Amino acid sequence: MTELRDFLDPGSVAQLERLQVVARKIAEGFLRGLHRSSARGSSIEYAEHRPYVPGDDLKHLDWRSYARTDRFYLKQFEDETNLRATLVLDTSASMSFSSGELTKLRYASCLAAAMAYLLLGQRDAVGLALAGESLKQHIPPRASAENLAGIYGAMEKARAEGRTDLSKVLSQLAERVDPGSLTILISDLLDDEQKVLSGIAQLRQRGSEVIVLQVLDPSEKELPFNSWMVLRDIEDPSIEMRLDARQLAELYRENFIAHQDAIRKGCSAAEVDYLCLDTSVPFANTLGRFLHLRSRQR
Amino acid sequence: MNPLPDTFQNPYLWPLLLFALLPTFLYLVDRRRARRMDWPALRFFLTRQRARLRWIRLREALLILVRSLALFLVVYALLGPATRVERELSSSSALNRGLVLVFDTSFSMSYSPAEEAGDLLKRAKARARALLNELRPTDSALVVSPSAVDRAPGDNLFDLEKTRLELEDLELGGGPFDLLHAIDDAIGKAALLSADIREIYIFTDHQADSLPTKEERSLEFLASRLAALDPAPSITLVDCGAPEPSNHRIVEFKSDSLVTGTDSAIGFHARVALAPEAGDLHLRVTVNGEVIASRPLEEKGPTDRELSFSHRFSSSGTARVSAELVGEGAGDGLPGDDARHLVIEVLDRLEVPIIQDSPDKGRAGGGHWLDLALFPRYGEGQPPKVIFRPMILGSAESGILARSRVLVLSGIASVEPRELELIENFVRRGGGLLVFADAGADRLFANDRLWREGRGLLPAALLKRQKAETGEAYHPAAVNLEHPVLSIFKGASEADLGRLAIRSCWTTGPVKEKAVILSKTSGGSPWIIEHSLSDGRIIFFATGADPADTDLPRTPLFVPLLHRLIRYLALGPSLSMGCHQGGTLEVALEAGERAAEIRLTRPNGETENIADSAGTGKRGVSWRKTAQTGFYSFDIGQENGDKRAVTLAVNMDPAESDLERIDADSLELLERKLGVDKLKHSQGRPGLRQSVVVELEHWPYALLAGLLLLLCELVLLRGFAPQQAGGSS
Repeated sequence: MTELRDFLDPGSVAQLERLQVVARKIAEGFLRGLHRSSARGSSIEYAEHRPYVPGDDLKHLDWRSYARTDRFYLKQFEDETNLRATLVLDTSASMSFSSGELTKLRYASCLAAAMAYLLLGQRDAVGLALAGESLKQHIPPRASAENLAGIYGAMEKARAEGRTDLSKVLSQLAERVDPGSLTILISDLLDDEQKVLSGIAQLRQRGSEVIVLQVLDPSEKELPFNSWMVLRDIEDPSIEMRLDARQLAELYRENFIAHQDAIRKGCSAAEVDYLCLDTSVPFANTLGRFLHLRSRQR
Repeated sequence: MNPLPDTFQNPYLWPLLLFALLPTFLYLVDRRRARRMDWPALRFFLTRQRARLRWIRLREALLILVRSLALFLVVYALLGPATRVERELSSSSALNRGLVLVFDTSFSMSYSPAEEAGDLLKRAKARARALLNELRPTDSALVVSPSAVDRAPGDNLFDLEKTRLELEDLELGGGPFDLLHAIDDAIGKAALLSADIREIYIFTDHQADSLPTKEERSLEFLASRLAALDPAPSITLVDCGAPEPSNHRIVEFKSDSLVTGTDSAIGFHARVALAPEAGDLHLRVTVNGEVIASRPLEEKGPTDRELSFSHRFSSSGTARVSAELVGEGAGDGLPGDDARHLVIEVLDRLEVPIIQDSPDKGRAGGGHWLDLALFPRYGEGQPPKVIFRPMILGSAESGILARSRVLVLSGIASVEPRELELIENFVRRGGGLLVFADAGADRLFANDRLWREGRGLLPAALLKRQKAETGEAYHPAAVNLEHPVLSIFKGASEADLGRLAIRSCWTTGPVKEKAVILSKTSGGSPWIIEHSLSDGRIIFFATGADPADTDLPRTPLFVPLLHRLIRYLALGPSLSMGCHQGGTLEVALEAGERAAEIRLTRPNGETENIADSAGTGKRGVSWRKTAQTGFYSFDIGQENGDKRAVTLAVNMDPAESDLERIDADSLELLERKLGVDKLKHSQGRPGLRQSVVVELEHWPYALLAGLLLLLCELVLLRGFAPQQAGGSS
């Protein structure tokens, strides 16, 4: 067990470079710890049509419907997957912050990769959306190893830059996700909480289940300084403040708690599962809680 | 009322006040050392609550301001600030006054202004009397002056009635007046006063000499003494002087020497300073009342004149020489300096005791040759005007020394300590000593008792006898021909002196400081050395006076050289024959003189019998009542029924007769240093203070305000913490 814990420690994970290896090791290590089977039943029956969006595989295009309606529709089959899950990874500049060795983006990437690995092992289709000021990249969900490799590649290439506009990103994503699908938003949610919640609401209206995983650095929860600081906003360098951290720590903590409360309440109201994750907490806990949420969905 | 404090008890004012800037300084340093950091949540966590941020920053600025101000006030309180407030004194005031009245009784106060009868001291006394009359019986006062007798502390020091009597008895005298010393003395006396209001009044003529310039340190010292008293006394300078005094005076009158012979003329020199519009004045010189010269002093010309006179006395004795300003404009406000007096001792014979260890040595002793050279010769032309009376003695005798002005030691032989003391005292009192170190000189005695490392009669220690090779001799070298004695060898006789043979002599150690080598031998050793001991002159020969050492006694040079030496030593410096006005005249009694029979004749002709200074340890007369200028004659009775007359002159101190007034700058400096509110000037009759300066202390208010501010800080810190203040935007 000691070996397992060590392996799942974020600090140890940060030492590994390739995300594929990281994901497999995290997931396998986690599964060994749980002693549970990932095997599920499958079906090959037609399920429904859905409008084509750029990026969809053309082999599932329903040419007959096109001939009849002059519109592109995709055929979807029950046997394709148990679940279509989209991992929405926040790659805004604020995700680059770290008070230790592991940035929030790296933590979130590792977590997302492990989840993708687990989901695919359950024959679920997994897709990826990289979020910034807009939807930077979208890989539709598929239950294939190639797709998983593409997801890993996209995450490895992802750089934390630009501002966050989760409302816009989620709105764009809502047009692409299927009803009944699962959207897992992994972000620090350091954006206007109303905008974030409105984006989540659009996904919910689309019929997608949403899980919100908020990734925070432990030092973000309060101002851990006891001197004068010149703080510059990571996403907007034009905002710079010279402040006495001792004087403003209380105000900061107060605002932070209000923000978190608003997110939590908004998620609860929208029947969205919400988890706040700490980059200093081992992955095992996080994945355990994730699977707990998943089991509730089923 | 001045809003700023007038005084700070603590001198470290500014450094301590800078301490109050410490919070601001630390705040700025802290701000400057801020770390830079990129922060993810800044944009919307902090910037959206601008109102609260503004309040927090305002609170921070307020805290710094409050801390700085509190610290400033606490430091300010520690400095002990006080403001002086002048409060009017009503006649019904219950406050007791204590006055210290300081009088300038120097002789410049004897000036009589033309506009009123009496001198300046009388004017000062009238003004002081008026002040005393204003006092109530419960008030106290004290007269302080150099001439007044100090009352013993505790003997009802400030009794008003005694003070009134002392004021009336006040006389001129006590020496020059020093204003700063007077203020110092008055502050000391004021400190003893247990009064609610202390006042010092200084009655002076504002003579310039009474306030030395550039005395800032003394003034600062006085200011600190004043500040140390509570209540601090006020000082009023009551100007009793004449605004524009008119005084012509003889600044100085001196002679070439106070002792002279009947054989030569003596010079007198006078310096006169004339007042503007002095009128037709003459300077007249009298000797024993007989006019010997009179010079007109033209009205036009420089105010300061120097005049010289020459006179040869025809008879011996004590001569009274006076210089006087006479003429139409002679009567000015200060008559004391219109005449100056000198007492000159005129000699027609000189007793010359020659001490020789054995008076019967005959031609072998130096005494024989000295006696031969000094013995008067008649038969060749006119007899000498000053006759030498040589006498060879085995030892010094006090009676003979008392009559003599010069003493000769023909050799250096060991003598009794009592005799040595007698000789030393003779020299120290102004007598002349001629010493010959012959072959038989006792070197150990000479070095141990006469040299005494430069404190004795010899100018140098004796080392050893130096003898020239057989058939050869040393000769005088490096002769100081400018010296009054050796100047007779200038010209033709110089060569004669150079040929003089010195066969043996004593070598000496280094001569004492201020001793002068008048001649050396060609061997390089000092031959003739002159030095002084107190008021007496000593001339030392490193050879004997007999032909064994040198052939000088056999040459024609010997007699004139010896005569010049004796005259030079006998007429040398003498004790001043008199004193300044207000000083003390000292007359020593000789053996056989009766202390009970001393009769004094004053300058105005009044006579009285006086007692000597019995019980003071010295035998003689010390006469202090010298307010009159002129000649004081003491007739002293002797055991044999004879009388000895001693005449001494009393003159006004030239500094006192200079009536130049203190300049405005010096007065301003005095005022500035002692405090404008403490020092006042009064030209006319001064009145008692109508107001009193009270010091209001600021520190309690400052401390209270500082504490209140500290309370404010606590409220700001606790009561208005960020969570309670302001709201989100």
